[in-house]
Amino acid sequence: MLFPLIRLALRNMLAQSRRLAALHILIVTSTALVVLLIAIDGGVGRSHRRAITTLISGEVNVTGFYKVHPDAITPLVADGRIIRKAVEGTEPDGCRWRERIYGHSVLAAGKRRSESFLIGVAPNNEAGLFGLVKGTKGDLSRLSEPGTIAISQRIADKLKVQVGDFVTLFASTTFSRRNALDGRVVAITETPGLLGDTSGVIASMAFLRELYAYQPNAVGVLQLECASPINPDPLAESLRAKLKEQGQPVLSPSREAFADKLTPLLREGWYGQKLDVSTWEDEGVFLTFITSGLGALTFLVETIVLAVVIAGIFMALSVAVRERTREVGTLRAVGMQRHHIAFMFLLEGLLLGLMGALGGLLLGALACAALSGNVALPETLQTLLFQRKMVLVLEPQRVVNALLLVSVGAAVGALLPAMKASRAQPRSAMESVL
Amino acid sequence: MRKLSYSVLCALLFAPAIARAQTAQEVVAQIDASMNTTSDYKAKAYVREKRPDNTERAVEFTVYRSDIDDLLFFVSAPPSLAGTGYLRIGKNLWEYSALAGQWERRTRRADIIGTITCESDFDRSRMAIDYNATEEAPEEVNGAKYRKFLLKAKPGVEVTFMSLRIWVDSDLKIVKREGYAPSGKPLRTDIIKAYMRLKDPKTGKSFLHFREVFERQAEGGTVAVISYDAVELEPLNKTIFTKAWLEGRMFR
Repeated sequence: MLFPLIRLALRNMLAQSRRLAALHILIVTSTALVVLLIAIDGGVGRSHRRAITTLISGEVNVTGFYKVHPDAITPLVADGRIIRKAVEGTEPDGCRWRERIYGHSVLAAGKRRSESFLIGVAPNNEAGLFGLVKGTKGDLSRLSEPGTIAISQRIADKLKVQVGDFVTLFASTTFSRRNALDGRVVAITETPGLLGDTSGVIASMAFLRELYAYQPNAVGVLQLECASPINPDPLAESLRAKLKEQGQPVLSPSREAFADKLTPLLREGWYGQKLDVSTWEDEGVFLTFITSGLGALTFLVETIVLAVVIAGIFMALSVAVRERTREVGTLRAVGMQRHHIAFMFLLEGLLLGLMGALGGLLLGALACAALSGNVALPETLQTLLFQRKMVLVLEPQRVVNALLLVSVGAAVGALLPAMKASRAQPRSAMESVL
Repeated sequence: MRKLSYSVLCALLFAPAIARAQTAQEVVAQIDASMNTTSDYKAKAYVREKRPDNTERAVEFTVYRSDIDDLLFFVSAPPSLAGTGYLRIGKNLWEYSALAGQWERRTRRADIIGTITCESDFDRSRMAIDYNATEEAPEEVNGAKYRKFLLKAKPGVEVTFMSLRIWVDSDLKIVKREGYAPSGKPLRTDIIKAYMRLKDPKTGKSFLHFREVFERQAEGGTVAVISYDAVELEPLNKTIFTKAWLEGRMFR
C-alpha cells in the first residue's frame, strides 16, 4: 500500500507543481540558509580549535606554576626534563609532546614602542605553528639561529621595521628585574585572527630563557600536539593521576585558562612548584562566547526555518485539501481507508519538505564550495572568526540533522490538513458534482 | 741617460709608498687612533633635543670611562631625572632609575635617557674593531672634497648601527656620519660641528674630541645637539664603576 500512496502523492505534487513552486523556493532557500550557517559554525569551530591548539595550547597541557616566594608566581616548569620523562609514553597515536615558553614583552625600535605576547618554541619542531602563522616575508626556519625573532605584520607596521632589522625586547624576570634583549627580525608573519596577538613575537626557547633569565632546562609548558582531534579529558585525568603517583604536586582541574589561575594562586601561601594539567577547552574558555554565539544564532535561524516550513506546508495542504474534496471523496467511495487518506497527505507534505530540503542542501553545498577559502574577511571579522578567509565546513551529522528538521517540520505542518482530509465522507465526491 | 737614472731613482724611492697605499680599514683605524685616549676619561655632556611637536628638553650628565672601557653616565639635570644613570661593565649595560631605585638591564642598541642618543655616542671610537670598511667615491660639497667610507658591522658584534657611512675631510676628521638599520633604512644622521684637541696624559700625544655634534633622527625628525665640556683625563677611582656608587648618589 505504501508505494501506491507514494506514487499518488508524487502525482498530486506534480499536478500542483505551479501552485507549490513559491513554497518550494521558500523551503529551498531557508534550508540553504541553515546549511550555510551550519557551515560557518563548523568552519569557525574548526578554526577556533586549530588556533587554540596551535597558538596557546595543546590538546592537553602540563604547565608549572613556580613561586620563588609566596608573593611571586611564574608560569614555569623549572626542570622540563623531569616532567617530560613523566609524561612521555602517555600520548595517543598520532600525537607528540612539544615544549614552549610563553611571555609578554614591550618591543622597541628607535622611539617606537609596541607590546606583544611571546611564544618561545623549538623551531625545528613547530610545523603546525609555522603552517598557521605563515611567514609573509623572511624565513621562519631561521629562528633556529641565535638572537632571532619573527614578528607579526601588525607589529612590523607599528615599529616600522623590516626583515634584518633589530628590535629590542624589554621584559620582567621572575625576580621582578627588568631585562632587555635585542632580536634580529628574520621573518614577518601574518596575523591569524583574534589569537594573532598571542603570537605577535615568535622566538626560540633559548631566546626567551635569556630574556627572562631562566635556567637552560626550564620550560613554560608541555603541550600535546595531535594530528587529529582527541577527547582530552580522560587523558588529562590519567596524567594528573600519573604525576601525583610520581610525587609531583598537581592542582585540581578547573575550567579556566592558565592566565586566570595566576592571581588566585598568588594569594596562596605556598612556594615552590605545582603542576597543572589542562585541556584546550580550559585554555580557550574565554573564547567560547564566539562559538556559543554562533551556535545560538544557528539555533535561532533553524527555529525560524522550522516555523516557516510548518506554516507553509500547513497553508499549502489546507488549500489542497479544500480543493481536492471531490478527489478525496472519490477515494473514500472506492474504499480507501481514512488513515490511508491521512497518510497520503502526510506523505505529500513530507515529500514536499524533503525535496525542498534536498534542493536547499544542494544549493547550500554549492554556495559553500564557491565561498569557502575565496572570501577575504574584514579585519574585525577575522578577529572574531579566527580566519583570514571564510572557511566553511559541512559536518555530515549536522547536515542530516538539518534535513531531518525540515522534514519533521513538513510532516508537522501536514498533520492537521491530513487529519481534516481523512474526515471527508464518500458522499462529498457527489456533493461537489451536484 | 741622466733622465733614465732619475726615473729609476724616483721609482725606487716612491715604490714602497705606492705599494703601501692605505686600505679603507687602515684609514678608519687611523681615525680611531686620532680620536682615542688610553687614559681614564670624564666629561660633561649636554643634550638639547627638539621633537617634531616642538617640545624641547635638555639633559646634563657626566660621562665616566675607565681605561678598560667600563662606562658610566650620571644624569644631573633636569631635576626630575637627576640621579638616573647608566653603567656598562663588559658587554652588559644597566639603567638605574633613581626615582624607583631600580636597575634595568638594557641593550646597547637602545636609546638612552629618553633621547635619540645612544651609549656608543659617548664611547671610545671603535670603528675599525667593530666594522669592515670600504671606501666609496668621494663627494664634493661647497667646493670641498670629502672621502666617504661605508662601514658594515662584523658578524656577531653588537653595535648601534649595523652599517654606518662616514664622510671624512682631508685631515681625516669625521664631518658627517649616517647610521643604517640592517635593512638599509637610514636611522640617524650626525653632523660633527666642532672638535677640540686634547692631550693624553698617559702617552703625551694629542687627540681629537667632539665639541659639538648635531644629530637628526631619520624617521620622526627629532633633532639633538650634544655639547661636551670639562673633559678630564685624570685617573678615576675604580669604585665609580659600580652599582653601589650610582645608588649612593641619590643620598648626596
